[in-house]
Amino acid sequence: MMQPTTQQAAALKTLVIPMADDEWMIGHRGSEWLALAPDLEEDLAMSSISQDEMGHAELLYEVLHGLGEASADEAVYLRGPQGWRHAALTAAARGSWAEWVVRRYCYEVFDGIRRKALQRIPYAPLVAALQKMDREHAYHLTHFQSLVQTLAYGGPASRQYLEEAIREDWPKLPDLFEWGGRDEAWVSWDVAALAPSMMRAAFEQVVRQDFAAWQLTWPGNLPAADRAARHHDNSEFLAALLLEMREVRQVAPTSGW
Amino acid sequence: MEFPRDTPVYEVFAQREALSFPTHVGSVRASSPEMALQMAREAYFRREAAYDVWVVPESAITRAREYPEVLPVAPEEKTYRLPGGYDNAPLWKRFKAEAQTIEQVAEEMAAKKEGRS
Repeated sequence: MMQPTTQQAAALKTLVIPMADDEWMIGHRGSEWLALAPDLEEDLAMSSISQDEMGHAELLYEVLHGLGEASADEAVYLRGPQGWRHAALTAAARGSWAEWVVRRYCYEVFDGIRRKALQRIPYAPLVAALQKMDREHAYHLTHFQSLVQTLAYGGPASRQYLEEAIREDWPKLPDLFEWGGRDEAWVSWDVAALAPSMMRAAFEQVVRQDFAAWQLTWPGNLPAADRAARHHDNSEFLAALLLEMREVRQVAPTSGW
Repeated sequence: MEFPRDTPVYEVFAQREALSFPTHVGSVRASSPEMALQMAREAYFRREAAYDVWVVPESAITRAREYPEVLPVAPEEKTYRLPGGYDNAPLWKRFKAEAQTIEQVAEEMAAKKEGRS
């Protein structure tokens, strides 16, 4: 597929926008941990990982730009709340450190599954972007697995924080697996792995295995996704986030940054 | 209230190429050796590659400062171990300055030896 048809381009957008927005939001929220991580070493590691995520988002916005969407800058700085398709978990406000560790671990596991499924779509710019992301994400997953493990074996208090965090994040997971667009988008590629039910099953399999290794109680099946998954049309919360994220740029909106 | 203990310190060594020696680059705190490798990667190798990275628990290092008798000190009283007595440098300088022939230099040295000059 050198030049996608209009239909294919629309389907690709439905699949790539959620991933680009997820990466951007998780990177943005991650950047808020700067100077707040538990130690200097983790502060460096987390900032670096968050920069990676923002870089991945940029790569994906460029892929979308090639499909006729706005540029990366416009997507991030000018798009209204109704245009964003990130999962609620990625943009949730900063909570406890344990919550962030659980959130990031779950996101990395999920994102690996999603990248693997998307790699089977024969659109060269997307394949190239995913390959570049893969290299950095392998390390991200290892890092967050280590952090969960550290909390799991850091004594009773630390384990309690971890278990609370898992309970807190569990209900926020389901909309990760949704595309937020019409099912035709992924069905048209004939890639069964893109089906939300398949991604959920793959996610559960990995996380169950890890939880068993860390002797963590499985919190129960993931709840069903909301019909409005990845739509934030009336979210005051998102409007506030965008306002804060764009604050510096808005000081001089017409200048070239 | 019980304060959390600091995580242990690991000394970080990097081998830039397969045949180069591991060189100390710094230290990190981490909860496990694997974590120390991850932290070292972020702290010291964000912009450059390494052939290998070692992390060594600080506690595994035996320091000579704790055993003064083996601590190497400046060999002040061991002048006999310092190289000395090779005073050919001024002769070479003159040879170059005056465009002497090597035979002239040899003659001069021989004269010096015999106490002629």
